[in-house]
Amino acid sequence: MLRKFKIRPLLMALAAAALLCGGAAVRGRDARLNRTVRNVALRLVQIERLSRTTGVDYRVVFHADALEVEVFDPESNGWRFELRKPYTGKSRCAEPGFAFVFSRGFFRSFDAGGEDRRPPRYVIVEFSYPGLSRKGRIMFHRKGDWRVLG
Amino acid sequence: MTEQEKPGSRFLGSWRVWLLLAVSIGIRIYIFAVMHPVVHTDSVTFFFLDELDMVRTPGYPLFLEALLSVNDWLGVSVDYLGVMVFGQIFVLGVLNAWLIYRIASSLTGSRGFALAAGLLYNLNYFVVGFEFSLLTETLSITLLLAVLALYLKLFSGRFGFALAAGGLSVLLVYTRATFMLLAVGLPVLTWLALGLRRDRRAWFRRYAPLLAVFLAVSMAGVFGWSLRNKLKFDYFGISSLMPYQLRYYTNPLFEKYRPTGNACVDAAARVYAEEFARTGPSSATVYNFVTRLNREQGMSDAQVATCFLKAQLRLLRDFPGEYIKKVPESFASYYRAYSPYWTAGNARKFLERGGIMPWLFRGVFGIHRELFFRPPLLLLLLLGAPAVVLIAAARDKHRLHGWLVLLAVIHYNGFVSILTTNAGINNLRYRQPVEPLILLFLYAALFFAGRALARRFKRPHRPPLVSAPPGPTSPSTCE
Repeated sequence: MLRKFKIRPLLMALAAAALLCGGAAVRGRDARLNRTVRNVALRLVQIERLSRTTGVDYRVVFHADALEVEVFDPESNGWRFELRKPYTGKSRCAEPGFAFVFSRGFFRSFDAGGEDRRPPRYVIVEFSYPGLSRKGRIMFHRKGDWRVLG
Repeated sequence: MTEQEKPGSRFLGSWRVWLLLAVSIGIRIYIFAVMHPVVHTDSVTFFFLDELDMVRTPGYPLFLEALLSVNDWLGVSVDYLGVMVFGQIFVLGVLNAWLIYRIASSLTGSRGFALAAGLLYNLNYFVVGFEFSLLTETLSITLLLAVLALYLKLFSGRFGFALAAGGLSVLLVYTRATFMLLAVGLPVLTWLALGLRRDRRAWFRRYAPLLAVFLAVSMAGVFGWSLRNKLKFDYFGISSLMPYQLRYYTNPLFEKYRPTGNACVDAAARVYAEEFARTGPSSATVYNFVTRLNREQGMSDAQVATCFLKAQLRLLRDFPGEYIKKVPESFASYYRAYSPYWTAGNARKFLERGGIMPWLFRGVFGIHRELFFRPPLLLLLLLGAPAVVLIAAARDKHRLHGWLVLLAVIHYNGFVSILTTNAGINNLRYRQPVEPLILLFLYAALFFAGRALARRFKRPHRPPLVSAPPGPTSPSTCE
């Protein structure tokens, strides 16, 4: 008969594995959507800080399936591609094309599309995941504030 | 009987642990309610585990990813900075207090003293302030204390401790690359402290395999990440941070640089001198320097780091006096400094308000600041306290070895930090991982000295020799 102390670690490992698999089945899509919103939010924090310390202007563009970051190149007087990060899993952005600029650490302007439209006071960028009714949202205010709404 | 041998001591020992945990958590509830997270320039480079360059090691990003992944699964909060800081404060902070307790208990044999040391850790704003900063310091303390605790347990002869100590040593190096040589130095110190004895062959046969496992696991980790950098960036090394730290010593020397004929090294020196003249020692200088070399010379980041280091070593070789002249300044900014600068606006909330908690933080902070600021007290802290502790522990070879290990770690960290960077206020931060150990020596010295004095006063009164009672044949003392 096996002594208890040898069975216990095995049972604990099996319980942990069951918890993980069960969790993946139940919360997998939520986790991926949450991770998408988290990565976008931390990217914004990162860009804010980098533009403040390096004095470089950054432009962030939300595409349907990925986030793109561009850096202003004073030599060519234009935006240079920096990186493209796909969203997690099948997450999608409901406002593809929305872009905004960070300059010296401050949120300077955003482009919500439509050249002849007055810029709105705020924009809510929504992220969705197939099979989930809830959305992940980030709000941007014209005056430069942004926050994750959940 | 020692404290640990007394009947019911296991229960008594555990009530101290519960008290320590309760107080640690209580204080941190207050801290979490009052603080705001501090995001430093370096903090943002740790956010994305899959974007680490050659400078950053994966330890701290792994920890953040673990915290944030749990949050993603559970959907607890969208305050991601708060989540990260929560993990640092309530997981790492409480663990650190317990680890201090464990180490102090095993090295002094006194759980009462260990409890006091653990409680004091929670009131040390200088250290605790880093728990709400998104920097590697708090995790470094946790891993360093854990490695030391397990390393000292290794001599119980169990293979698992050697493996665990080695594994955590890898994580420590992945969090703070400066500890890379610690795994080599500790076994050497152990051999000197414990191995040179009459039964050294038996000692060697018993402990050498365990030390070899510890060293092998540690070096495998260092090699693994170095190999990853080689494959990904063509740079074999745990981190390319060294030249960007060393520049604080060599910044003013670049204008005196003499070309060597090595195009890569000469270009690195020339471009850095130009950028330094424009923007000084700021991060923008490094950013522009690297960008220009990428663009103008077609150099990869690995080549930039390698050539930049070579240019600096050349400058140190040509102007050694200039380097040596600055070492005392580095020493002063490493040791003789005590500031809440790193906690930004939080310092006012924790040290300048009314209330019992700010009063406690202020008191402990003020006392420690005096110790580090005043040269005589600093000497007492760095030399006097360790001397008292080593003398007190001299009779017990294993405890003496333990204290020597802690002392070696303190001076190893100081040695590496002082000689490789002259970064002013930054040097203060590099002292963080060993700050609890420096203070542990002070507390232990006071404890041992106080105990010795108490024993001296408690010596039993010896009754005088009894003389024969006066009788007819013996003279009376009254005459």
